[in-house]
Amino acid sequence: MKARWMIFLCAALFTIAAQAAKPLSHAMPAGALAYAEVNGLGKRLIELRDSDLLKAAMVSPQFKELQGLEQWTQFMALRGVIEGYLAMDAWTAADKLFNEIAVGVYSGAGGEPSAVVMFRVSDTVAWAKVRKQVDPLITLVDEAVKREPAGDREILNFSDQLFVILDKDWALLASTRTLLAKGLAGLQGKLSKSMAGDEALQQMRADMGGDHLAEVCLNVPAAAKAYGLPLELPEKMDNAANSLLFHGILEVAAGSPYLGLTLGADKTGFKLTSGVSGDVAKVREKHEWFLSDPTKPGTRDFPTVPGLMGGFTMHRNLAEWYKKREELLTEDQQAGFDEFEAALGNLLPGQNVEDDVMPAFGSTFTLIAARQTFDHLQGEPGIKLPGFALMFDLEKPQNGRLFQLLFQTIVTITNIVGVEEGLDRQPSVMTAVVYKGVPINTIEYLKPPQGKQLNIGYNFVPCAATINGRFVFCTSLQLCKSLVDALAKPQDAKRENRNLNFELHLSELKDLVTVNQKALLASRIQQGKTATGAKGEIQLVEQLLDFVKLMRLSTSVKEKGFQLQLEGQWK
Amino acid sequence: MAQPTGILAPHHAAQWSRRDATHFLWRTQFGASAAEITRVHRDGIARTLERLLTPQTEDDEFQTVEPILRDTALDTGSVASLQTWWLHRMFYSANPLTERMALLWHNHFATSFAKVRSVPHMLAQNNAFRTEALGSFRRLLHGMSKDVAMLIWLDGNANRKRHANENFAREVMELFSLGEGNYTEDDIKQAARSFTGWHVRDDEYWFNARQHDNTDKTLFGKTANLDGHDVIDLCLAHRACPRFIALKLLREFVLESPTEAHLSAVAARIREHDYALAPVMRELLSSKLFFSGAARHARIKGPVELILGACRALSVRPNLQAVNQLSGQLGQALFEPPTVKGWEGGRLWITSASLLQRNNFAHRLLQGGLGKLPKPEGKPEHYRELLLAQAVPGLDAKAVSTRQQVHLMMTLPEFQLT
Amino acid sequence: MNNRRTFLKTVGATSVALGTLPHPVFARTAVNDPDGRILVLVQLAGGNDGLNTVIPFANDVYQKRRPSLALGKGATLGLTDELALHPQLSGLKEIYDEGALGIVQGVGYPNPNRSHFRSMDIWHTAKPGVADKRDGWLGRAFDAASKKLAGQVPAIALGTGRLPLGLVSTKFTVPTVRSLKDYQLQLAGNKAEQTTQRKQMRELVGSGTGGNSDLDFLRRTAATALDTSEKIQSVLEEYQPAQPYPQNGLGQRLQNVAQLITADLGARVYFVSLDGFDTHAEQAGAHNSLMTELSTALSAFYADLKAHGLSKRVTTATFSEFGRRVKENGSLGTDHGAAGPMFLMGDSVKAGLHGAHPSLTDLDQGDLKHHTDFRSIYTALLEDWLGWNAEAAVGGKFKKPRLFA
Repeated sequence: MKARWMIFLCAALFTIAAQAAKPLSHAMPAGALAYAEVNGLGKRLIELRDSDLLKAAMVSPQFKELQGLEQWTQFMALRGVIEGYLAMDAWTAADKLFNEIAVGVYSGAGGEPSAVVMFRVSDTVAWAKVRKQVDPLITLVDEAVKREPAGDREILNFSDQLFVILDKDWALLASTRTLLAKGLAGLQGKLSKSMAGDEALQQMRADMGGDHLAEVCLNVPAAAKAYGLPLELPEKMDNAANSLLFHGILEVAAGSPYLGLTLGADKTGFKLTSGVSGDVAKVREKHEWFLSDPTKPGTRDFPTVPGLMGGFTMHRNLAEWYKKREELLTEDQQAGFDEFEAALGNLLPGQNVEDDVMPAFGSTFTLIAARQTFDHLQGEPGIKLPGFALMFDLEKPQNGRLFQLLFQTIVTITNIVGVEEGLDRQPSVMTAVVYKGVPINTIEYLKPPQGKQLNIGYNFVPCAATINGRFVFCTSLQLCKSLVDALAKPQDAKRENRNLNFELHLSELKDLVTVNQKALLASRIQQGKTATGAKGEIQLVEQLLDFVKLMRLSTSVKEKGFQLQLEGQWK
Repeated sequence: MAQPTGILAPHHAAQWSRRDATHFLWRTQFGASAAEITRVHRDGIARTLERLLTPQTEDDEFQTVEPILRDTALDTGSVASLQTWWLHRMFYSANPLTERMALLWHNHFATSFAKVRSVPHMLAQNNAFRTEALGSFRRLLHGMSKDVAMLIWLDGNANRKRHANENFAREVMELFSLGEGNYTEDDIKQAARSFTGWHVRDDEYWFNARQHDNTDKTLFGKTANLDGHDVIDLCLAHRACPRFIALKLLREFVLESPTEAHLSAVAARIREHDYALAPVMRELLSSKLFFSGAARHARIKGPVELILGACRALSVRPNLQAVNQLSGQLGQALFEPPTVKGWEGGRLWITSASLLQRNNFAHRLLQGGLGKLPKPEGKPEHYRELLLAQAVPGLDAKAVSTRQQVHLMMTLPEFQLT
Repeated sequence: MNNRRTFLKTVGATSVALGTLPHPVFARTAVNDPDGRILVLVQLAGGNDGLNTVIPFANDVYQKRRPSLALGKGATLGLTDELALHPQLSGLKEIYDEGALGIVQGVGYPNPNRSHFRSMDIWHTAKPGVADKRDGWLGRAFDAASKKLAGQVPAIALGTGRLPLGLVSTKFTVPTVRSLKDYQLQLAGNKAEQTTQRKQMRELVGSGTGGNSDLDFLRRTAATALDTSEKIQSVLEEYQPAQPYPQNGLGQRLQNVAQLITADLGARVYFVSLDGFDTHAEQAGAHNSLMTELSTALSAFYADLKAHGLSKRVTTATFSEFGRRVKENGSLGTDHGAAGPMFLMGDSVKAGLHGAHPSLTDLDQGDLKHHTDFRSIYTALLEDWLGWNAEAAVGGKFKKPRLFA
């Protein structure tokens, strides 16, 4: 007998414990078109409150300007009233009361959306105090609120528009009685079908992981059915750049059961991920050019050159895209291609763009920017830009000659146009240097330009080289040499499978801001700022750049879908 | 030295009113704020003139900002940066008359970035205008004949011993000193030969002795182995020259269409002072003529004057990039005069299209589109003084709010005049 | 309306009394009045391949010299037994058949310059052999007609940032218009408030006393400005093109021109440009799309003007800085040449071919020789169309062909 009791007791305890730990998705009624859940927000907010970032922002001139606004004063007064009632400051309130939040949006009668919001509080004592404070308020406005008893609880009915139950460790808000009842059942653990069992949400969690600070899941087919969202994609796009960047993603997204968004954050950084699901292998032949093979690495990692400020790289089969341009793009876009072909044809006489030029590009290309010095000048430009390099894999080594020709033509034209247009630019002669066995084609000025405030054009020294099977166009000889060093190392050791990658290395960017401070100041002063105001703004930018080490926007192809990720790494 | 008499005799300070002060300020700087009107009214004309004609120390903010904007123009090599640098000077300098004179000389020696294509050269020329703004027209004209931007603009390097290029010689007479009708085609040929070999090399003036014509030339009756400086001195000695400069000064500072009497009176003073500009300006700006009815509301505002003036009157700290764009759209892109004749000005500023754009500028300014607009305060009369400096019949009956009143004032034909 | 009419009468009467031109807004009634005529210039920048525009398809030399670019009889739109239009110019061919398109052949100038910059400058300044960029041919024409044009907007350039050199004048500020918004009066408040404001402004502007003071001049111009903006406002609300314009750059710019002409803005010259004719390589595709853009835009423009009863009052002319070399190059393109054709479109134009096709054998350094100096065309446009003296504009007297019916 005793043993049975013991077992029963253990089982009950276990159930209660499990109940307490169960995420709110188990309490949220099934069938939401959109579902959002937040876990552990309060802690992150407290971290933010104590961070240097916020402190820096609070002393910035922008913040002071904000404080001068009438709306700000009103906002702060309101906050004061609320904090007074809650008897705690807003940060603490967030930590104690709003750590766990879930929101479900449903398609209601007559197309009007209805919603359920749930909070589970972590500090029941504080919550009890708050409820006590709020109670007389509700009495005060009793015309608008009816108190309806419901068992040992009380429903606050706001003109039949909103129903609220405040329990000892949770709060429930719903816009209809039915949803309120279901939500209540859910919070009591009595709901048979909850969002935890929702197919779209389950699949999203399977694809994107389940442990996040916040997640949002849109049930695409259900939402489309309820609101007739235009999910039919147009067959052709009317913008070539968008096609190159997004066409394949849209193709996958159109057939996805969900559109997911997750946010993760900790002391090292944050990660915002948006994902769709779909069988990448089944993407129509028309869009194959877009996707890299999910089982193989896509884009290359950025070469580790000194002073790397950032880079952009894409995995696209350009030649295929170009071939399919009439299938992919609307009629009005085609004229642009004709002009492009004529223009490129002028630079590469005798070459056909579609058959000769485009296939010469491999399937990834990369643009990077890195710090450069100006030792090749007798002075320096007034505005100091980084060196840029454009790299792509050569499909065949002999194609390097084609790009060499392009390089030479451009250098020549620059000289001619410089003279014809009377530009403030020294004529240059083509020359070649050999660095670690790699010949680099570049230019030398007839007379090295002198002075501390050289024309902005002197940031650019065109270079071209074939390095380890990749063709490189570069605007700095120094960077070109660094690339020879960097590209000699094995590149593909453990790269992540990305389809597109855009990175900014913010400490290097901060240096760029610092060396060009005068020009940035000037630009703000030209726009009407005072010297002090402009300086404050730039300092703030520098401070903000100081907190973040890296920002990255990338997309990756998974076997079961496609994800877009924005990441930041704190310093 | 003889004192000016007649129309140029001094205006009686006893009659000094706020309206006089406003008139004075709109002509000697780019618009006027209420505080400035009060100050000038209080100080009186003698003290104010003294201040305007003596170099004033710029304030700290100006001394910080000016080099930043100038360096950025040099660094970027962009004409837009150079334009905003100058607009900043015009709006914030403690020596606004100097800037107005510099603008006059820029228009007189109209040189465009469109051909010169160099910020440093345009900047150097502009600074030369500033140095001699209230200095000596004699030195200025001599200086311009060796100015690098000018030599590029008027094809100095093409002026060679065997193939004299008349471009510069013609403009020296037609546009810079005498005006049409005061010289012959042969005078130009002789002058062009005198300027041969005045070239540019390595971004500097260079006397190319091998290309200079060292034979005798005959100009205005004088025969000798003349060089460029001799030509300029002969032009300055020509009786047409002071009149030509008098016309420019009168049109810029006093009235659009000067009479024969106005011209000869001012020309006589220019000759008297041997082209020294400060004393001439002192006399002109305190003369009976300057404060006479004929000189009130007698000029059509140029775009820069209109835009900066309105910003100043309404105490707006303007976005200079926007000001620059607007003045370009209204036909006055600084450093880019449309032709070698500069901006003709006057009625040529005005077309139905440009008037609409001027009205739309007023709208934009009052919407805060050029910079934060202080809340309108005070009565309509306050704004009438700032914007119109005169009464306009029928205006008071219109529009309820002060803002609307102000907008109406700025769309009146009278607002285009100063 | 009544007030307006009274006002118009008053100003009309005073203007006549002053011997000046009446208000541009209501000046145009009779088609025969040269002061009501409008010239629209379409610049084909980059050097249009005239030989593949007006094509001597029957000429052996043409076929031989252009082995890959030559278009045969079947692929072109025949004009005569020897000449045809580029296949994409079907819209222009229809206008030709209707008798509203003139084609002037072999236009150029002596000692042709083959630099884009220089040659375009020459077409704009009408000064071959002189590096003088002070003003343009039309600008000088405005200056010469400045008495007639006083207070008016003589010309408008559309879709360009910088004013084309040809329109630079010493006496007029020619506006460059990027969008029609530039011509709308911007006002705060709702529609009713805006109407009140307009009314108040208009009342305060008055009508000028007819005097010649600056203030009178400003009042008259302000009245025109406000009336014009109102007209443009209503044109923007009510204007319907007779047929949709093509969704290309030139089409949109010409639609704006049509809107401004419909609003009776008073400008006598409109300037638009179509770029991209520098077809050194892979010419066929690029030239095809340029010809399509040119033809679809021009024919929509013509139809629109016709529907608005303006096709007799508006003449459209195309020009390019040079034609291209007779022999195609090794990159399936053509290099800079010399003489080329010009199109003239409108119901007042003497339709058909003007002048013979230049010889393909009697060449100047491999280029077609011109037989018609472009300045003689300018002279005809200025004198026989716009009714202005051309001598100062083109720098001399040129024998002009009869271009107008």
